[in-house]
Amino acid sequence: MCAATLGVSQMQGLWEVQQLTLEGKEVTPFFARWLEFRDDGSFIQGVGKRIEEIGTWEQLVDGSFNVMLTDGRSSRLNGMRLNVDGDSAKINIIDEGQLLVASLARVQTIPLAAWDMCIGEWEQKNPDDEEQLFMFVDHRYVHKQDGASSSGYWIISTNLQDLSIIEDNGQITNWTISFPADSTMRWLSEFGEQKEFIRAN
Amino acid sequence: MIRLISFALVAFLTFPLAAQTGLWEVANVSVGERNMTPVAKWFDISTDGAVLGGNGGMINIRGKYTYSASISELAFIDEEQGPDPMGAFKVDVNDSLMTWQREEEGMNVTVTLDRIDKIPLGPWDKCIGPWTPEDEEMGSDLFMGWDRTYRLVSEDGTQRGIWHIQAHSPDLTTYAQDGTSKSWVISFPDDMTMVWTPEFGDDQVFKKAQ
Repeated sequence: MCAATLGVSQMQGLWEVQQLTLEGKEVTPFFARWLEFRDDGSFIQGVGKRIEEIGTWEQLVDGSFNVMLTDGRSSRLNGMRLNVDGDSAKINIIDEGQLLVASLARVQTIPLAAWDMCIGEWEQKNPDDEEQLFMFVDHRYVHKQDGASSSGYWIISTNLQDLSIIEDNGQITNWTISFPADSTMRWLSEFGEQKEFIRAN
Repeated sequence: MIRLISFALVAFLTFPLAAQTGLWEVANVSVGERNMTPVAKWFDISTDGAVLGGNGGMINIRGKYTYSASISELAFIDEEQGPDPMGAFKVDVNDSLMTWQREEEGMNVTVTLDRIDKIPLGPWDKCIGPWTPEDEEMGSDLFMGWDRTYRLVSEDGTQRGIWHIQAHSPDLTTYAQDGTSKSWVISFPDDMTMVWTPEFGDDQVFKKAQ
C-alpha cells in the first residue's frame, strides 16, 4: 500500500512515452506521445499538440487505476498499473488479454510531432532559389516560387513521416518528411527528389 | 497579530488569482470593429501558475502565466514561444464571466470568456471516427481520420480523400482522390448525429457507428 501511495504522489507531471511493447514485442516506432497527470485528479494524453484523451484518474484499493474520460467512457489507460522510479515510469495495461507496457520518461515540455514542427514560414535552403512556403495550422499551405504562387492542403499521416501535398488543382505529390535540425525541414519524394527548407525569421 | 496579518495577506493575494483560475471558453473576440471569435477556443488557468489552451483538441498554448493583482494584468508565457509579444491583458472577472482587454497594433482587443467545466470540441474533433450514412446511396460506411483523410465505402467501391473544416466557420470541404471537391456546412444536432448540408439539395445525415 505504501508503494502504491508513493506512486500516486510521484506520477503527477508530464511524461513522454519512450517505448511501447505488446507481449514483449516493440510496437511500430512512434514518437511525440505524452501523458500528463495533474494533482487535481485530471489527466490529458496526446500526440504532439493533438489531444487524444481528457479525463480523470483515481487509484483503487488493489493498486490499479480507474481512468475515465470526461464523456463517461473508459480511457484506454483504464485498469493500468503504474511503477514510478524517479524520472522514469512504466505503465502496464491488459489490452484484450495481452500485456501492453509503456515506458515513460518525465519531460518538461510537450514533445512535438511532425505536424507541429512543420507549421510556419519556410525558405528554400539554396539562396539562389526564391522559394517560400507557408504551412498553416489548419492544414492549408501557400507556396511561392519564381514569382508564381500555388496553394492547397498538407496532410501528415499517422506514422508522422508521410507527407501528402494536395494542390488546389487536385495534383497530389507524396513525400517523406523529416527535421534534421530545429530549423530545417527536409522532404524526400518517392522518386528521389529532395527539398530542404530553413525556417524563415 | 502576525498570524492575522499573514491571513489577510494570503486572502488578498489569492482571491483575485482564484477568481480567474479554472477552465474558460472564449465567447467573443472583437478586434476594433471586427468580430474575430474563434471556434472552441479555451484556456485552463491553474492555481499553480500553469496555463494550457487550445482550439478544441489542438493545444496552442502551454506554459505559465503571471498575474499582477495591483493592476489586474494577466500575461502568458508559452513554453515554446516565450512571452506573448502582444503583452498583458487587463482582466475583469465577474463570477462566471471574464473579460480581457489590450491594444494590438493600434486596435482595441476585447475577449470575453465563459467559465466551463469541459474542454469544448470543435467540429474537426467531433467528426472523427466511424459513421453510417442514413442515405444508402451515399454509402454504407464513412470513416473520418484525425489526420484529415476519409474513406467512404459504397456499392461503387471505396472513395478516399481528405476533409477540411475552416477554423472560424463550420464549412466542410471534401476532396476525393479523383480530384472532385464538394462544399458543405457541418453540424452536430446531438452526440450521435452529424449532418452535412450542401448549398443545394438534401442534407446528408450520418449516425455514429460503434
